[in-house]
Amino acid sequence: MTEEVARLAPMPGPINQEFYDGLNRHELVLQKCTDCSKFRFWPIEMCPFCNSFNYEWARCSGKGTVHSYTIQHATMPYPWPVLLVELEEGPRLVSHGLMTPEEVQIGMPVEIDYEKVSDEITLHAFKKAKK
Amino acid sequence: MDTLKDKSCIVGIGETEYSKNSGRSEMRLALEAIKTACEDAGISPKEIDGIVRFSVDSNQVDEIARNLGLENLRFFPEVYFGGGAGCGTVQMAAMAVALGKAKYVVCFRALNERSGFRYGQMAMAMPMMGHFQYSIPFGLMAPGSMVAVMAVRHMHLYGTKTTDFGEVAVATRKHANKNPKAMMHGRSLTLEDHANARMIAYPLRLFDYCQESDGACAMIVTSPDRAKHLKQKPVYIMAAEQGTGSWMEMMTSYQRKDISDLEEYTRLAPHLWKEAGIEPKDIDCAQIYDAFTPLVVMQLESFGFCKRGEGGPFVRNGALEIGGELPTNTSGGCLSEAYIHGMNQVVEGVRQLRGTSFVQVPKCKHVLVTSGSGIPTSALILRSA
Repeated sequence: MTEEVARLAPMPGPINQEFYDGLNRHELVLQKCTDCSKFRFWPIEMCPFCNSFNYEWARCSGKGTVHSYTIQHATMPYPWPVLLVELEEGPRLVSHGLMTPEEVQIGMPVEIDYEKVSDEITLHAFKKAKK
Repeated sequence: MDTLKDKSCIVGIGETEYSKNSGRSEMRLALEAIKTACEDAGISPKEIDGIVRFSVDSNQVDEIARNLGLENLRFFPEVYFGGGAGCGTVQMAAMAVALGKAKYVVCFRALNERSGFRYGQMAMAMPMMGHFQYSIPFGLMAPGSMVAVMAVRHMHLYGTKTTDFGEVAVATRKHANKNPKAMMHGRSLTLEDHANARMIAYPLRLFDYCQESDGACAMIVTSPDRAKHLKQKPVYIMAAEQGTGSWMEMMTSYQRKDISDLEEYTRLAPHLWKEAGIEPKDIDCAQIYDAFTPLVVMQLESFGFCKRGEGGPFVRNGALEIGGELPTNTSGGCLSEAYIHGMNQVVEGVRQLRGTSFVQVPKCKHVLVTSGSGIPTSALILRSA
């Protein structure tokens, strides 16, 4: 597993700059409604639970479980786990799984890690949670 | 109560050939399909006063009207969300006809999906803006991979097997083998071939994926009264619905409670059955949008052909073939005929009800047609005259 995978870098905009700034600091920050206290992902203007425009960027624990996954074979130099991680805070993130394809299981606890893909962009990734 | 039931019908269908390289413009393809549909109906293209397009289609209404020489186009909406639009274009046409807003409405889709922009390679072609920036950069490279995540959840919850997906691929291929227009005509497929094919995105292998096609389809919708004077036996539009689900996003609605449920269909289905006044058991033949095989398994549940989680067992033992429980995608569908964003499945639904399919279901009276999955979508119930 030495071959480099060229990663596509997202293009941040006004609505999600804080999310990417957080990842650059190695922090997972998501929008949290300051009226109903619910987290949401991905970044949008309004709280879909209570329709409030008020929110803060709140730090998440970085812990979650694998809700589902796929192993991407095509276009990758080696089988590449893609996880759908359900965070402790509720939202689900599509992320890169830092484990072998054989190790991936639905329900497995995972924790966040970070992968720098360009000078401007760091992406989240998830590895097996420490016991 | 006022409904759309039986207030309009499809009276003309047109297709180009389906290929990997049409060698001509998408406009030319659209016009060929529209002209053929008019000839099939027995109307002059000049009689068209409504055009419904997919928002993703490259062909604009004004240019089509100019080519056809239309002087009084009165109705020209467009329907969004890629392959989800298909049956929705017919719904628009049906409503316009029922309300007298247009007399002859054409719905169409034309695309050089193989020789031009390939949706399966969208990761390389799109700037990482909008919601795909939260999936593609992590390795979820194409629509099939996005569906794979839902399929894995379905397998986990219900024990659905990859061989169930294989059953879908094999059934549609058998149909395509009898359809000379199908891109996979003459190419047989067994469950073993399916299981041994190249893995693209677990659990999906090569034959779980639809064709990539160049081509076009069109259909003409008019009122039952006008249909009496036309060439073909009309096919009645019993019900037409659009639908969405919670936490809606193109292909990756992963925030919703149950990602193994294609919620768009689950929510629109009760409205569809109610309007048509029939039940799943009354459907003789289904044209179920099959960009990827798991979508068929999951839709069977959403439309009530089986219980939640039983889509896998349902498709086993040839249930989707002629003589089976629910003959499905009888022209080969998107998997084996062509990927014209599901509009070829509307065309095949009409053929079944005319009794002119290459893979004809005996005494076919009611057909369900569905459009794109994992996106806001639409569906139709059609009946024979």
